[in-house]
Amino acid sequence: MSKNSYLLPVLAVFFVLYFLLFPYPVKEEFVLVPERKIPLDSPQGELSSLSGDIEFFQGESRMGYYDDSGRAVVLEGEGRSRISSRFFIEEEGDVLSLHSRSGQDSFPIQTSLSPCLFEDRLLLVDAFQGYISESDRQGRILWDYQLPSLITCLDSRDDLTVVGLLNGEIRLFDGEGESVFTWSPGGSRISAVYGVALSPGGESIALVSGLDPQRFILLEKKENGYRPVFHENLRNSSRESLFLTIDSSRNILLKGEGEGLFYTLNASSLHAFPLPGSFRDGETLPSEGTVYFVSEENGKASLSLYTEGGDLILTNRYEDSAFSLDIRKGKILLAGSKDAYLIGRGFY
Amino acid sequence: MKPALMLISFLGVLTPAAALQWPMEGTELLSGFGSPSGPYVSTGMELTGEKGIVRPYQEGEIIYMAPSGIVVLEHDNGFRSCYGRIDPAKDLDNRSYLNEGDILGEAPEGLLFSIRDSRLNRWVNPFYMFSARDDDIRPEVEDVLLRRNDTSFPLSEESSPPAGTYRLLVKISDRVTREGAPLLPYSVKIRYLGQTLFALSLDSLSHQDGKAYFEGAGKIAAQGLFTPEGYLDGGEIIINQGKGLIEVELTDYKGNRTLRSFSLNRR
Repeated sequence: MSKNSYLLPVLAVFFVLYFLLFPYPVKEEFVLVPERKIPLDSPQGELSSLSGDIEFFQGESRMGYYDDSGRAVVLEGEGRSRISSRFFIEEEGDVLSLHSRSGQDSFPIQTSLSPCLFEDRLLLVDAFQGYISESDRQGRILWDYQLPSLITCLDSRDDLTVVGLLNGEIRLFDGEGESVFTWSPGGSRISAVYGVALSPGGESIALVSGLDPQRFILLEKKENGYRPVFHENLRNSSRESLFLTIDSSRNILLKGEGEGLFYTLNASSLHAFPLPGSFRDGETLPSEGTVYFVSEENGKASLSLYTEGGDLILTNRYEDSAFSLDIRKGKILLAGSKDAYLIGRGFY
Repeated sequence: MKPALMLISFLGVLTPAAALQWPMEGTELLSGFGSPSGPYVSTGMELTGEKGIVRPYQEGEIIYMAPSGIVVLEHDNGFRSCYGRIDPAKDLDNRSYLNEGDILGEAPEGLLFSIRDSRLNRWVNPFYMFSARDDDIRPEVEDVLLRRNDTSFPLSEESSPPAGTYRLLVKISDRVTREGAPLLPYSVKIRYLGQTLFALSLDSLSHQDGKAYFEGAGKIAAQGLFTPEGYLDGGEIIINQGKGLIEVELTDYKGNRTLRSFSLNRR
């Protein structure tokens, strides 16, 4: 037997031993783990107990909360209810009921104004008349302001409130309702503000303004008020108020046409993440560097997960429409027109 | 400017406006421009109409739609018309421009309607924009009070209130039809001893520092102009001893006029 004839079996044995003794770990794959499907049309109290960490959920026409025993209680919201991590509001005629998270405490308020709940701040608004006020839990008006135009959008963080108006201006109010900053972006044929968001602490204000072109603008707090630090013309123009939010790391998420748009402070650029269908909702998880989107196509929703860098991790499809998205304490809650889905996250 | 030139200018402004149509056929007014509405002053009016169908008052571009039932159109003249509490027509999502006569949607519960002058940054009284309505009903002075602290002295044609400083409160209304809702008349003038004590005309509404102001016969703060009981606060009046005369003159949008006089024989 020649020398070469031994070489091949020896090499084969060597490789087999190498792979057995020094296996290369396969990278874990991120997966979503469906935990529970909650029918939202079930009568109150018929739902099975849940021991999740999520306290509230909200669908298109229904909302609910998990009581102290973990039982899910479904309420009819008729699309006008509002919800935050600390309170939720039921409306019946001109009476608002502000409920605490346990559902035990209730504060009825008589008003014909529309409620907007931001954590524990209750703003009462008549968008058509350009009227905004803040109410305490007893219904006392803490401050009010009649603005010079229709209100198209608003956001509130900490003790600040920012309002977008149809006349093209944004206005920032402090905790006492004093107007502390006003700004009107130009550069478009039609002046109007279609979306506005505040960062935690009020360090940044993001807005979408105008038609022809519609522009995304980022303002940052400087010594004397706010200054624009970034702007970009958007490809599509929306005539409706747009989804726009800023997370704790001052990443910005906004609705695009068939895509989600994502702005990172570090990159100072606006990235488009393609979605199957129309944008419905979105949320960032800055601690994990991921971005979640819900979109809808032909009455069916999809949940898409991207890295902040724009790599698509996965897309899940659902047999339901009109989803809203909520991510809390590691759980994802999707609430649609018929069902809510509680989804865990993990690696496989 | 000479009176004749002023009249020509006035007609020149009115003529194109008179061709405009109300956004609902067979319009009935439920509330008018500038009326106090809870915590704010109404920037427009509330209407109902036959069949509840809403059409744009003038051709224009759709620049805003809200799920809460608001649609806003921009017009060539720099005006924006705002329609609230509306169920938009199904094809509205795919259209960006509406011509006169196109259907905007339906407002079975009553339409909120307002017009804004973008150039002046003011709300305009919609009554100015439309063809004149049949209206031969004069505005009405329902009640006049002198109020000091918590005490009120109702005035009749001849009254004898004690001398002193008062707030002059006037309850007024104007109806377009006999069964129609009470609205505010277009202009209010109050004279005391021949001098104008108070003058208001509802031409437009502007906003400054979170407060609304009527623009027309001067600039008058709208908030607090009406008491919770619905009286117009005509301001402070000092009644001295002797004879005096208070005149309240109201004019509606059609030009119908009412003048009520209250003689004072002060003690």
